[in-house]
Amino acid sequence: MTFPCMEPENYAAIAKKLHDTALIAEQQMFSLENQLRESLNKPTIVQATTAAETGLINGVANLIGPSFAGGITTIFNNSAFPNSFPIANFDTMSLTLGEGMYEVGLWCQAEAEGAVNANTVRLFSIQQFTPDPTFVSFQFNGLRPVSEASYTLFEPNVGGGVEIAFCGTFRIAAGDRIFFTFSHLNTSSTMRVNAGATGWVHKLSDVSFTEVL
Amino acid sequence: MPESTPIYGFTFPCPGETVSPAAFTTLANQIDAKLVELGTLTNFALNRPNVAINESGSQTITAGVDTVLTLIDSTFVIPTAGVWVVHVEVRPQTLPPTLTMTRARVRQNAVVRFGFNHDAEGNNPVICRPAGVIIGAVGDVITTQFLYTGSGTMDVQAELSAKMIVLIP
Repeated sequence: MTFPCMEPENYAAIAKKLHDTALIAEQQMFSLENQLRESLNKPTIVQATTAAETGLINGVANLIGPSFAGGITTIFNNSAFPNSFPIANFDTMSLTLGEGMYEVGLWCQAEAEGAVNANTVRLFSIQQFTPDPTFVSFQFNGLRPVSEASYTLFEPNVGGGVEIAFCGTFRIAAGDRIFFTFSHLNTSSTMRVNAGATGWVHKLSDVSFTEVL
Repeated sequence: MPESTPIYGFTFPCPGETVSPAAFTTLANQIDAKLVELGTLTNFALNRPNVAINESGSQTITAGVDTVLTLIDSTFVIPTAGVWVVHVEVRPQTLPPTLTMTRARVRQNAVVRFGFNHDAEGNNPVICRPAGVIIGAVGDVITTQFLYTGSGTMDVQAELSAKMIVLIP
């Protein structure tokens, strides 16, 4: 910006000059502020379940967390993603937030609904699938697995179930879906995931900023 | 009457208005204040707040007692309102007579936000590493509580790391 010294013959233009100065300053600062706030507020969504997810049978990947399996509440959302929609199971999240590098996390507590088979497996996963009409699998026809973050726990013989909080990094394309899943080998009873299971997704960057060496 | 710009409200005199020196001062101060605000945002963008704390010493935990860790530096006070990803690691340092389960939970203002437990039967002192997200306000206190089942006592060490992933305006 320039602000030349006024001469007596230009005094009448002072008001106009201040007006122009204010507008130019605002234009430049607003552009900078938008870029900074965009950098500091990458799309992030945190959702929790509002009811227990029950009747989870052994030997299969049960859908859990913020999914279509139960009610959800959106705790935080700074994106255009609709608050009433679950971040998992559908392609809405990836279509809304766009292709990029993401961090995705899950916290939940799982308990047996009846007898506990102590020391049996509890497998928690965050799975990423991409549409592929030619792909046929036991899990999802038309969805090809891309990536997964998983944790295996064993149920201690002291009651109270198991609890897990973990996250993973994913390169997600528009149209991809994430699933929060839970498998177990508690053959003596079904299991449930308690209300409050929290899933979150945070866009780290666009893929154009990702260099693969 | 002075008018103002539509977004930030920078004020300027209207044509025909007597322009006083105060008009310059006011506009300059308004622009200056906004520059300071943008400077703060720039600092956050270039140096996003992160913390990694190796909590000093060790703490003795009694079997069956869900205990808040009071190690030196075990309390993290959120310095900036935002969404934070918090990782905690609690490491058993001694082996109790019997050990069946270990669990670490992360709390925000004494409310449990997330946790992680392990089957430790056979006296297997597994490290607990919960990692989760916290929507924090300035001054919120992050602490860790640890529980194990079995018998006797066990010494633990811990560390905490946190990164701000979103700045809440």
